[in-house]
Amino acid sequence: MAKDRPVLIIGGGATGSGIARDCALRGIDCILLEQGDLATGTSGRFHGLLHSGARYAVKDPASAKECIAENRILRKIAAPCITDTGGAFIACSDDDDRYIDEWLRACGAAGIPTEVISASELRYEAPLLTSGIKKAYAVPDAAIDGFLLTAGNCRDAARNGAVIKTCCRLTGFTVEDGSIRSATAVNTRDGSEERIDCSFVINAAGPWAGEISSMAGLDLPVSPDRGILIAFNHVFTKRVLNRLRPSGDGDIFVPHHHVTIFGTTSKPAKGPDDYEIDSGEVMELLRIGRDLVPSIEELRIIRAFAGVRPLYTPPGAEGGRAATREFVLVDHEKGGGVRNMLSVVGGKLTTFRLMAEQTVDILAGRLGVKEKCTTHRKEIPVPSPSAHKEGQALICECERIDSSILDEAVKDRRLHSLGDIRRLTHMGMGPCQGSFCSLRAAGHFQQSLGLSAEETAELLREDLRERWKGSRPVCWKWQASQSEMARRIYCGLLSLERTDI
Amino acid sequence: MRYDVAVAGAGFAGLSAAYAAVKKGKKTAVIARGAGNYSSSSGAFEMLGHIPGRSEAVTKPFDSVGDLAEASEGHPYLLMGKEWLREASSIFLEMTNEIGIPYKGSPDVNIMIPTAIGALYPVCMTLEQSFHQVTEKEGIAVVGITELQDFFPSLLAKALGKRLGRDIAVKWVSLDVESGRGLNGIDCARLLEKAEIRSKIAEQMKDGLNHPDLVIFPAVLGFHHHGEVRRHLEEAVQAPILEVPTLPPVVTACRLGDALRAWLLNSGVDFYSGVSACMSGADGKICSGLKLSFKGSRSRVISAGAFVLATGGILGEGLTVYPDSVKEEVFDLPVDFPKPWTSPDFLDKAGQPMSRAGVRVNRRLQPLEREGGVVFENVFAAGSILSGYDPHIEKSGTGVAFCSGFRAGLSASGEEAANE
Repeated sequence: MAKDRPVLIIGGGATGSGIARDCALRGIDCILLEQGDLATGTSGRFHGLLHSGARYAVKDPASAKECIAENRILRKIAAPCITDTGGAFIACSDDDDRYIDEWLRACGAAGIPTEVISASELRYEAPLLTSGIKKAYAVPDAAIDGFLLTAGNCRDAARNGAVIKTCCRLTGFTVEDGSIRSATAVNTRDGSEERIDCSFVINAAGPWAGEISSMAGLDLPVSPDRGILIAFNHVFTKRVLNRLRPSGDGDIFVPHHHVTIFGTTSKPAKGPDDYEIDSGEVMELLRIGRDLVPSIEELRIIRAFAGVRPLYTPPGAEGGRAATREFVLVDHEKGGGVRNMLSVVGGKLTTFRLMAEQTVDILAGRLGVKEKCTTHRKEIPVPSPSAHKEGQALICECERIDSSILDEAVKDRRLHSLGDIRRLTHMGMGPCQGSFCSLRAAGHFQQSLGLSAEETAELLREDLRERWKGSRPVCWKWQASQSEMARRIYCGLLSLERTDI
Repeated sequence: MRYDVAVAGAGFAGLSAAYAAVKKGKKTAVIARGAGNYSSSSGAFEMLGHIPGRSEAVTKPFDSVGDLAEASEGHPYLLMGKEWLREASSIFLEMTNEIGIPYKGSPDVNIMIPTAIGALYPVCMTLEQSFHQVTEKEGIAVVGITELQDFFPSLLAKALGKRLGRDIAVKWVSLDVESGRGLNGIDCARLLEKAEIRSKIAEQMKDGLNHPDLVIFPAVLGFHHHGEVRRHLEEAVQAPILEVPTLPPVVTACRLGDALRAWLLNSGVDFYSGVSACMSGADGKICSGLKLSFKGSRSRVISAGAFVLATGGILGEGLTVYPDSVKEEVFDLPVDFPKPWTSPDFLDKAGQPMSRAGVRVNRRLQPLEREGGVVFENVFAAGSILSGYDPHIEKSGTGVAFCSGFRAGLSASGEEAANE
């Protein structure tokens, strides 16, 4: 393989970054292109659940087996981004006994350990739970931070020779004699264009996979499917809570840091970035949540967000909840398409490493590379933000972030947005949702990085607009007064809305 | 206990209403759940800085009031009428003299003051010593305090310098105190009231400033000893100092609010703090009293001849938002509920509809039924609980609070304010 013709990986989510890491560890030269920041698509817009596989045991035993195997591997190689919360599957009084038995058998068959927990023990841990618990079982679910995981993969890939380019959007391929020879990409920040020669293309663009393959003249049946999630301002359960019944809307609660994420729904998306939510959807999801947490509508919501799943739906296959959660590897050589392109579609974050391994196995075969996969044995160097030092002034009081933590976050990368910093450090994730710390962080970076007045104002404007997308669909009670407080500060005191003229 | 006038709410609107009632010799009570939500205002008197949706700032607020009709028919200014705004503005100046922190300016013309991020903010009256038209000053310097975390001198200087087309110097000084944490504006203002700390700052400010015409300083020049702190530092730099608000709590706003509150206390106004109020009874269209609920389960009823509702809007929690309705907490009055509720752009220059939610009133500021009739003859509403305006975008917060607060206080005292 010529050194100047690397493998081009499209997509900086868990899958693409996992593939880049796997390539790099096998000595395969690669470049990863991500249109936004790392993990800003599906990998950053989900409930953050590391599946035990129990969710899939009945309907999709193969996925369930993969999940429990990968769950065990990730606990070893990616420990810093996993919180071992454990999980519970809970059947309420009117849930079907036959399904419970079937589920227990299926978990057993998939090798997923289940253990009875008493209703009283569960309610002692999580007093907001319904009193109508019929049966409950502990399973090895956990919480995982998709952003840190992806950042860790990329860091390891880069240390082993991969090139990671964020804010870089693919605009087209040059196909000659049935092979992709090069790609063109645009830098989404400064508009500059570049041409990248490549020996092979791996399409790991998630919900954008269909668009990417069409640039090579290929048809890939990907249906973007949308789920919404709600973040609450409390950790009201220390475990992941699942409803023990066939998969449906609103059956998962995952505790993260100081918040609980509740989801989700499944509806066809208008496009790969169909993230806008209306209050009606939130209310509908909350109504479903009442079954497990009767007082759910009284709890303080801090934001809502949507994620888009890429479901693989070849002609004749089912969509939505019925569509397979297994991943699919499409070799575009078959059927006389393009010789040097693979697309990875579907799957879930829990199995990203396996998807990467299987993809790179095929790739290695095609490139004549003999090295075997080692990603399951080597630890991922997950970036872990350092702890707040006593005495340092706090930039974000809710999450205890000081300026040295911010400086560390931009040490070897360019600052594109405060959102990037937030994903890395959790700054502004608490109840005040950035009302104070966004300005403090912008003020800090202006000075430490020597930003211009306009760059700083744009950092702030972009950040507030972005955050508004999360609070707007839940703009009632505390969130309404919190949003008004943010407007009082940014418009009323600072006139930020007037800085663009 | 029976009062002539009971005011619910201790923000600028509520305190202004109480001030009017005291001026008319009425026995007055102020009831508030919190400390009064004025610490996040700028401390300047902003009458009208922008017509929603327009790009140019308002230069002559009094002349531009009529233009508000394009954005909102029910704007409180339009209801109260221009003549009242002029009269209220001069009452405001008299009041600031009376409470010991004299302001200067008039609603005829705005001056532009810089914000902490170097944008320009139109106001018409400020503290006398801070009344400087920054656009007309040549040599400007910004002083930052290293321990103060909610002020951004380097950003302020860059952005303001770009807007004004000149270089603005930045000078850092240190309070040299061990705090173990970042300080806010209030902390710094308290420290600057101490002569020995102030002297250290004054020494540092003498060096490195090149004879500026104006020094921009975070709004931390002391509370009660504001004059003394200012004189000391102005002497050191040999230039006037313009105070710029930090993140809340904003010292300039606290200075005004606290002084007014202290004056009211001295004038015999009873303050009930940490209590929530709701109407206890009515006789037809006459409200008879408020039930006050104290922390714990204690409660009592106070009766009054007239009531002012100044509990704030969504931010002050006079209004509670539910997914499909908005509730007014004291009298359960009908509330205008704009649809759509929000704009997709957080920084929409036309404003957020949500901010315009509120109680609809007539010219006397009496809350109205949906059909248009008066709900209670003896209840008057003021400040951000009023519907039809967005203070954050218009830069009209203090203006509406005072003009409607004082007017509601007059109406509650049985006086009629001037109408066009």
